[in-house]
Amino acid sequence: MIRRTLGNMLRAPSTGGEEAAAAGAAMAVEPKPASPAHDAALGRQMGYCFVTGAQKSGTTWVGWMLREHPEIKVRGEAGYVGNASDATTWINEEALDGFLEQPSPKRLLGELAREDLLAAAQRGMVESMLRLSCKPDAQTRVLGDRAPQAYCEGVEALHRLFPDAVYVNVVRDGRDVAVSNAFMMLRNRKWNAKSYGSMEAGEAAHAAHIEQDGSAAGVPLLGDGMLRHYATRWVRCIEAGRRAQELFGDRCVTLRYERLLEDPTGPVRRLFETLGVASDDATVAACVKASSFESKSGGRKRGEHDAGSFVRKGIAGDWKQYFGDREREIFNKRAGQMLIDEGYEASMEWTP
Amino acid sequence: MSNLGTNSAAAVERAAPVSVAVPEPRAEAEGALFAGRRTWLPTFFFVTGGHKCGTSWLSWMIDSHPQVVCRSAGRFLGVQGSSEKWLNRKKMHEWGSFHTVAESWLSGVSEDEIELAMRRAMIEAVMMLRTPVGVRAVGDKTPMFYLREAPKLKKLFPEATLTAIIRDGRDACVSHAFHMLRREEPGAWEDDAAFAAARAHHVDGTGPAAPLFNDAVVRHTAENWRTTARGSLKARDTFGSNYIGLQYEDLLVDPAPHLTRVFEAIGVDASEKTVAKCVEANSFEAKSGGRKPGEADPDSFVRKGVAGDWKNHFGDADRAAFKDVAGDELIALGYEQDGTW
Repeated sequence: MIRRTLGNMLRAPSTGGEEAAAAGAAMAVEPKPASPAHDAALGRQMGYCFVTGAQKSGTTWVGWMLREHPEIKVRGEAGYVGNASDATTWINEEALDGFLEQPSPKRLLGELAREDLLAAAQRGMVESMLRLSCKPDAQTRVLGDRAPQAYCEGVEALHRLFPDAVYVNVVRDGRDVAVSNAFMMLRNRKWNAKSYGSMEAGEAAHAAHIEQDGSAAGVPLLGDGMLRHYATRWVRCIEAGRRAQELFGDRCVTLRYERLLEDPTGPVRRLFETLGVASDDATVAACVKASSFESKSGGRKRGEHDAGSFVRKGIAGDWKQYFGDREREIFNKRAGQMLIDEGYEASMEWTP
Repeated sequence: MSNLGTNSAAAVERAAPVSVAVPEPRAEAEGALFAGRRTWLPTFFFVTGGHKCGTSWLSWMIDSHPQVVCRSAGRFLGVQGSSEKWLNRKKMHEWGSFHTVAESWLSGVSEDEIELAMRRAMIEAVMMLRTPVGVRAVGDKTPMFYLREAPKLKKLFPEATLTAIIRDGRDACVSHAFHMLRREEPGAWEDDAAFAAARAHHVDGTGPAAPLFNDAVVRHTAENWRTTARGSLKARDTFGSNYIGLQYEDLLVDPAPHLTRVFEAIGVDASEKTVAKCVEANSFEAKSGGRKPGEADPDSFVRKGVAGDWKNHFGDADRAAFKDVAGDELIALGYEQDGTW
């Protein structure tokens, strides 16, 4: 319902919309910019794009490819929705209600629903923040943010504010997501007592898998608690992606990490097409090349592991090295059915 | 009579003209990406002036421009419920302190800058609601408050043009008196019986002759007008080359050159043809349903449309009262040479 009213509100011209558009097209104008960012956005159509997925699914890689495009300015990780102090909380609603109680806004806005005004103001703030930070230039046609988890958690809110945006959902095998998360957690020393059952167990895992002191064989990468956590979070993100598909329709683009590994060219071209930016061979190839594992890892090939690097290994199926019966049991309990639904396994009986 | 419009070089000091692509037709095509959403920015501008000084007429003419929307009384500053309190600073700064935000998104952008941008963004969002696709300039007309809050407005919209209109304070006083009677809002009268007699005589045309206002009303409206007059002088200083000061009496002679100046300043088509259309659509005749200026209808918002009507209503005591309150401002704005009128 909100979508309908917001759409109507923003579309319904009070007077002479077509005439205005025609007049606008017929003449050159000299608008007065407030700032360079405002200047670049002034009088031009701007599209919006939000990239998300479970953490460690490849959103950064997708973000890099987008950033290489001359018409796209995407940064990370602002998280405009999906957290406790996100953009939906930046309005003092009592004060806005005070404004709406005045007689003039009623004349100004007619039968405008409160939630529509709220959504418009919230969106306005996000748009402004995107301009401030992305610094669009004369070529920019799309602004965006890449934030794993955030736009999964906040998919409904994002759609309320930006029903016109392109929602990019990056999906990867949940088991590889768990392995990749484990390495990141260890690398950043972010484990807690629950992750491995004790802080000491975390130290042992760190020694084995990051420092690589030779003890890897006996020390599991994945603790029970963390595995449960990652599996649950992965399921939630996949579910959010499905909701995004319902909400955003054709503007929800799902990218599979495994498919991107084979060759990002096709999926990236389709993404550019959806965004309405140049998608010719040269542009796509340049974006893909500049963001490749080799380029970003300083020359390593995919599969050449560097436990200390954000660009660690860059392959699919790495989970096979770290999953045994215990890991499978825990993971299946939370996410086994989802693995099957997403086509990663045919049954619960999978083994490395 | 151009004491207010000092910056005749209305060719405002602008940044070098930017070449701007008009929203492409494909964006409007059915099913096209982002169709129907306001995803571009127009130029923003503001219109203000004194009560009963012609702000409505001016904003109607501006609003008639096919590339412009100018609505009335958004009151974004200076009144209860205005935008100053809309921002929840605590929450925004909480978000701004997340390391991913502070170290990446907002690095190099000061907190003040962000806060200002967010306050502005909310006003812009409200101003852009229901504006037709393709509009190049969006404005809001709010009398008085934008003069009083000119420094705040300037801070939020440093590039915006502020157009202010004022008229002879004595005519504003007469117009306001009729406005009060018509709307049956005694306000400053403090004398219900006298108010009823004035209403009967001047609006209904039934009762015996009665004064249009009393001393309290003259003083009250003169005080309001004085605030406007002083405010307009200050706003002119605040907005500098982005300020356009207009006088109602000049517009009565011919609105076209003044309207042209406004259209040029807000960056829209200012051709003779367009300006003439805006003027015609809002002439006294068009708005009053066929009356000529001077043919008064006391029961209409578009009452008489002339300058100097005060001479028909001001008695000696009223003159003295007005001089006492706002005599200096009448001179400062060029409506009188001295205090001997």
